[in-house]
Amino acid sequence: MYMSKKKKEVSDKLVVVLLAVAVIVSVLGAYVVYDYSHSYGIESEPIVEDYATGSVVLSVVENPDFREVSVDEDI
Amino acid sequence: MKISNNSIIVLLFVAIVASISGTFFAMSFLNEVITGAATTTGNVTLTIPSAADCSATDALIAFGTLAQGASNQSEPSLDFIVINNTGNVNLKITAAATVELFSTQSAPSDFWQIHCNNSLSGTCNTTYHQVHNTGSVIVTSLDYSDVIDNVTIGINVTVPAPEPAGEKNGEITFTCLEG
Repeated sequence: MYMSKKKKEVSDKLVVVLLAVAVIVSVLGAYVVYDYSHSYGIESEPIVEDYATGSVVLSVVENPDFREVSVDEDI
Repeated sequence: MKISNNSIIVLLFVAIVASISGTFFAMSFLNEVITGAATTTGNVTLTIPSAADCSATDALIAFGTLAQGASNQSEPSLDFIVINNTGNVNLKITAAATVELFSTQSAPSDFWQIHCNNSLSGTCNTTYHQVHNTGSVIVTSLDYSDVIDNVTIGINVTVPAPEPAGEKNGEITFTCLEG
């Protein structure tokens, strides 16, 4: 007589527990990597040159001493 | 198609193993990129990159109204441009005209001169000299430590006789290099 061997099925409860574990492990792993990468400054290139700007403003008015004398005025 | 719980369990194990492996892989990769992680003995070594950095804390000198041929300079009115070393290395600062002040006289000319009025550290070039297009040295070895990291820069102007009346605005760019 042929006897088929019945496969034992895992309960739904265990699946849910394992699913929760998977999610926690995944989130925890992501947090550990994030925290580690932000704990120390990643080496950056040195700044070799920088610039600053300054301005000079003034208002020029005519000086009568420098007024050009036209030929017509002399006549 | 119905997936059995056994299959789901296998897939979940694979997911957990992949997640843990991914975390370790990322950590080992960051170990190569990051310098300065603490050792087991608690020592921390950090590499701080050098930064030649500066900013103008007072960027404007206003001479008010001047007649053609008249002169003025920063000293009587105590109106200076102030540059601060905001980096972490000593600075050599040069100045160059980037916008002409007068329309009738292009830099360099005696009508627009510059000098280092005072620096809290380093070597201050106190001699009034022409503002160049290519740059002239204002100060060397300006320290980066707070309290001694400022330089005040004075300007001396003479309005050219043929300069048309109106508002004049000249611009000077200060280049800050390590030195």
